[in-house]
Amino acid sequence: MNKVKRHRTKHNFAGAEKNSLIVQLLLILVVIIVSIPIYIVIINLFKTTDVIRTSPLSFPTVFSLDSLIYVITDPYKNIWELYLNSALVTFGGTILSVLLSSMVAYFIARSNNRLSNFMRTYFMLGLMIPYILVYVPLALLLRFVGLMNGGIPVLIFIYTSNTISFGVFIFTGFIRSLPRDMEESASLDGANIYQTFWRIIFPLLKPATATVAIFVGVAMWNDFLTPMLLGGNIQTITTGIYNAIGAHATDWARVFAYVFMASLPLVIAFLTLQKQFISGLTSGSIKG
Amino acid sequence: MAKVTLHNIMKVYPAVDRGEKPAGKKNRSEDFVAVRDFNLEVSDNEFIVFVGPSGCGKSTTLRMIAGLEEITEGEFYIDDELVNDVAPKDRNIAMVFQNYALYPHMTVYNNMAFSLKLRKEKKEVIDQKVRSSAELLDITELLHRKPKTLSGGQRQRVAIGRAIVRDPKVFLMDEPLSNLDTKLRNQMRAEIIKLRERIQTTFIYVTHDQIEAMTLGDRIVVMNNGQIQQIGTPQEVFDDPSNLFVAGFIGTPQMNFFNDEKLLLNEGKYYITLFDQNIELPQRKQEILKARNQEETDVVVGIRPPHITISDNGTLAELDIIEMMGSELHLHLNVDGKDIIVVTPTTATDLSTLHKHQQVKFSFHPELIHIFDKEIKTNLFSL
Amino acid sequence: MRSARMKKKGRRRGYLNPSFAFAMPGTLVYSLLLMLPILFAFASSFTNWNGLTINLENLRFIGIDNYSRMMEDTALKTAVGVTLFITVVVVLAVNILGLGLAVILKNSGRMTNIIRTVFFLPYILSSIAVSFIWMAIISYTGIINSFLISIGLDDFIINFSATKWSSIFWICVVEIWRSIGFYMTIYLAALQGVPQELYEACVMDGSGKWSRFIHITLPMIVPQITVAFLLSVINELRIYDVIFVLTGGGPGTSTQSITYNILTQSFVNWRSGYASAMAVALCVVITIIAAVSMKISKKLEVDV
Repeated sequence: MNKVKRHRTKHNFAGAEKNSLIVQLLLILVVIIVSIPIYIVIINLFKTTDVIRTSPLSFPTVFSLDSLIYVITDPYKNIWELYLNSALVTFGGTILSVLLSSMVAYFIARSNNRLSNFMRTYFMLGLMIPYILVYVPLALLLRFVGLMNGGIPVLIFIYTSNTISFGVFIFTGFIRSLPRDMEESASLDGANIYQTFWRIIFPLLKPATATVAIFVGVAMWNDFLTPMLLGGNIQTITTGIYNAIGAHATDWARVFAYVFMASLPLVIAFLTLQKQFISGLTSGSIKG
Repeated sequence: MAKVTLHNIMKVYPAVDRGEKPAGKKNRSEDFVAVRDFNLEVSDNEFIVFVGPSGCGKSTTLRMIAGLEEITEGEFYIDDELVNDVAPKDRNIAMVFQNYALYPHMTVYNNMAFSLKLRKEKKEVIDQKVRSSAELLDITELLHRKPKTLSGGQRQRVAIGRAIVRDPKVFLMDEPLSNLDTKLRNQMRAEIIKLRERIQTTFIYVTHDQIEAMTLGDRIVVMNNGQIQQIGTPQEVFDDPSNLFVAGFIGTPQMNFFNDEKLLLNEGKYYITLFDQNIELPQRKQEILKARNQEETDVVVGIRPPHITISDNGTLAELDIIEMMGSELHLHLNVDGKDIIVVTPTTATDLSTLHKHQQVKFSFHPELIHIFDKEIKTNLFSL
Repeated sequence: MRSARMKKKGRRRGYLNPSFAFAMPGTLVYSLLLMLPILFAFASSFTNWNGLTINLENLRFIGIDNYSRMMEDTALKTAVGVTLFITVVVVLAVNILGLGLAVILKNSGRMTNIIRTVFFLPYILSSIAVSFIWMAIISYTGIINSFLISIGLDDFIINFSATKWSSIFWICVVEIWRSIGFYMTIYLAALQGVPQELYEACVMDGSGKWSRFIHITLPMIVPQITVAFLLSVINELRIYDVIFVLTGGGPGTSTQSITYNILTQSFVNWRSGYASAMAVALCVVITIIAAVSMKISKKLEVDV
């Protein structure tokens, strides 16, 4: 039997090879090691900190929802408000970024003149400059115009300004790959340039829009420095849990509960739209 | 329906071409003249076909008519109104694109309704127009589908449908059948002829396929190198090609050309040299040449393959290749190293009497020969 | 004159092209909130600006003093050392392990997609959440030590933040855990893009597994290797969040990264001009690295 099996692998083509049993077991071992931290979060979510101290790696014997309930009902740190802030900032920023960058990209991709060529370079600059350079002068600017506590709208515009280059880059490439005859056909059908964009081009951008939205959306939801340094009194989920955990630094049950709650929305989104997330995040950063 | 007039139209792509190049043109270091001296009057309901090899300027001309390409010089009128600077959307022109250019995110219904919606027509009017056009093209059952799910032939119909719902003044078609396979192409060609009878519109149709041009057009505009070579009915273009290019381009197999011949004038009669003989031209042709006081000159003589017959007497040749095409035979004859193609109906020939490398004799009627000036390449019989 | 007119007219019709109105809103937001501050930062890197206000009496143009001062800044030297160390370790780990895992994963049949998802998951978590998870695991009172105590191995308990090098070690572990799935996914996609016929041809030529990897796989995925390498270098050179949560730069300031140092200078010490100069320098370094590795990759690339 062993002989037969060997015979088969030998004749398989290289690319379609199957792993040997040992390699496959090794892979599973690596998977287990990589998943341990996630496992720890999940099992300890349902324990109290005392139980965690005594049996940190075992399955919970008594399911305790104390820490989760505490996090959800914490009167000093309203997690629902954090969710709302993060959601508003993320969705607002993503939508604005997609809209504005696709419009800029349409101009750059379809107008061949000196201005559009300049704009291309101008927006490329934003991809190369580390954002850390911006915080101090931007803080000054916001204080200067009295918007340091401008709240969610200010954060939305900041995120838009900082992701728009990426969107322009992806959308420009995509629009250039679209055949021009659909626009020409629309113009013969009686559409003006705005109708052509919103009714023909924008719907066709869907794959690029998915990439841009996922890429910038995840970045906005997870960002920590911007809300911390420029958010004024607005706390998002990241700065919120940072502050909340700061108060319970060694109360692991609550730490896990906070981490779990902070990550839950994005993890659910990721698990339901795995393909789009993975391709959006990887192809996005490869192209960007 | 409308009259279309093009007067001295010219299209020049500038030397510094930083932007996109027009399809098929290489980047050039100097101004590139795509179309020049284009004069044409298309009357109401006429079906005009622009035909020519790729890069001859036919599509560029069509795109100038559509308004997709700027007219460098000249005037373009629709119904006596100068529309050079009218935007495509205001010209009331419909166009079927080579790749159909259907909007992929809209259903067939919405593709067809799009232009009407933009014109803010009433819902019922839109619905009625879309449905009647769909019926005309037999695509009613496709109305709710997306273009992606359609076959090539169906997409083609939808593209036509999208154009006809609007009752355009002028109906443009840019190589609409070139993406279809041969069988479907023949079928769609027939459908376009039928369609044309049912809708009253001026058609301008671009193709590189001379069969489409001959079968569809009321008149054909043959183009080459950005210039009109001849405008005429299919019959005129076939029978009286105005120059060597048209003679060679129209008709398959190609006209046989004999390059190093002479037109001779002897005692008031014109002769041509061909196969070491002097052949006297028939009376009608004599008169045309006389009227122009044509002098002796170097000429190219052309004879269409079906106008040559294998006969018992005539010029001797060797039979090189026999191509059986079904209803007709293509015979390749060799006369002194020169290849001549003869087309003869299969029914009129006994195949068993023909063998490769056999000596045959062929003849032709002097009435059916064409003579072109070798220098300027024009047809000497053209008036 | 005629040719001048033609030049203008040879283009496509204007109304088929979008006007600047399309780019206007985006350009406005981008210019005001990103380019303007960057310009300002660049200008301020030649001044002694404190970042709080613009007080013209105290504000002085000091030329390249900020840049030359970096050479003698011991805190910065430490930060550069720490950052470079972390960068080298993490970049090598995620690229080599990532490629290795991708090679194995490619041949895992139906498991491929599930395993890829598991590996990718940490990448979508915020670095703050990731840092807290690991803090709970490796803290003195955390999961590992609790586990060691619970099985009686008290002697082996760890104190990750006690020394500089153990802190750096765990920072590297967290960074690798967080991002390896991402790089593995890039490599997996690259491997799946190598045409099967090449391998088949190579098998016909009688090659072994290893030589196929060296002679076919590697040359074919040079572009993706470059990208993954670049991305990992740039990300690690800018490392901040994980250090901020895990060690707070400590013990002392021994694990401060470059970004950490810049932010401390600007928001704690209020030496914004100097901080901007450091950020500009970092930007230059990153650009050089990107340019050089692009050049190298162009040379290695195979034309298909």
